[in-house]
Amino acid sequence: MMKNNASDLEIIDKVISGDTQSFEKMIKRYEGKLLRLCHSMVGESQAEDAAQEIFLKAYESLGQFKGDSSFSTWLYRIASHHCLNIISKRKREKTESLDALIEKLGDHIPMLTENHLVSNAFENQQMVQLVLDQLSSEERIILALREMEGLSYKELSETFEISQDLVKVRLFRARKNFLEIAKKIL
Amino acid sequence: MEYHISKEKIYEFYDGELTESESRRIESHLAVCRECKLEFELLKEASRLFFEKSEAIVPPGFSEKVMQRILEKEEKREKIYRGSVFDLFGLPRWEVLTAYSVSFLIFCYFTIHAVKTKEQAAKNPVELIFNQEETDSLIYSNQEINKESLLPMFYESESNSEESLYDE
Repeated sequence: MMKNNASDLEIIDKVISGDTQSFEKMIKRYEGKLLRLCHSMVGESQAEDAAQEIFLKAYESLGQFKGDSSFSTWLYRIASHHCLNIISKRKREKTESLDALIEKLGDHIPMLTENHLVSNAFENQQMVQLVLDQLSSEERIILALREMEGLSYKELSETFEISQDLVKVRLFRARKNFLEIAKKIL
Repeated sequence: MEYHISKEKIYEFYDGELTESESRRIESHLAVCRECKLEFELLKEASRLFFEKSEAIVPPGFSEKVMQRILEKEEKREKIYRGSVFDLFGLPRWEVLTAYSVSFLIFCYFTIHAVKTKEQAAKNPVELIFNQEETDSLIYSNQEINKESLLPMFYESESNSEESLYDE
């Protein structure tokens, strides 16, 4: 996980001082991570819009960034709130049963288990999305941040503004549910 | 093997969140306990399968789109500012805001002061009357002074006129 290096703070200072264009460097630095997270949380169709909104919110709140956590942690905090809002607002489609999910995944599973290198990034993300849809939004976000972005317990604690003990509890529950699904597939 | 490590500990071990001594202890246990090792391997395989890091697909021109939205918002904000009363003399917003705030505070002070003065006057009407009487007495005394000053002149003039009649 990227620590809060001097260049992040330097860019933030420049932007706050009025050099709006410098913010593009931050976007380029974090667009990949953010899009990956949004994709896993809100799905492919809304991921780009969600990521744009998150960057906009980050820009407007830049004056409130105190530097006590890394910029990426702070950005993930904004992203979590935004994605959870989207999920709670939109009408939930009827949750597919696990059997229907396995049927849908069918052809993908042999390809992914046989091939250690995931050749098709799109299909992998699609599969992750299908599995994560089975979890609650809170379980989904904490799992995505831990597994995809490699956030430590401390960073997760800062992102969600909860204690590390609570992080462990939530992560445990999310994994327990996730593994129950995974066991049926693998 | 009777003794098993809790799933929580296995997950923490997988996440690399344990101390060195705890990690060594669990590693030793996993080497001899099939059940715990299976749990660990399942987590590892599922994570690898479902979350193996792949490069995110960044749509072309994504950062440019975001910057465009940011600049549009900034432009809109600037337009609103420029058309407003805050755009006096082209001063920065905060200076104009400070000037307006200070003016407003001064205005409030004098308004409150005027209201308080009126309230005080309304509370003590009797004093006003006394004041009026005093004022009246002053006016009358002025008139008396004038009369007195006038009278001798009147009498003098009269006497002068009589003398003149009989003065041949």
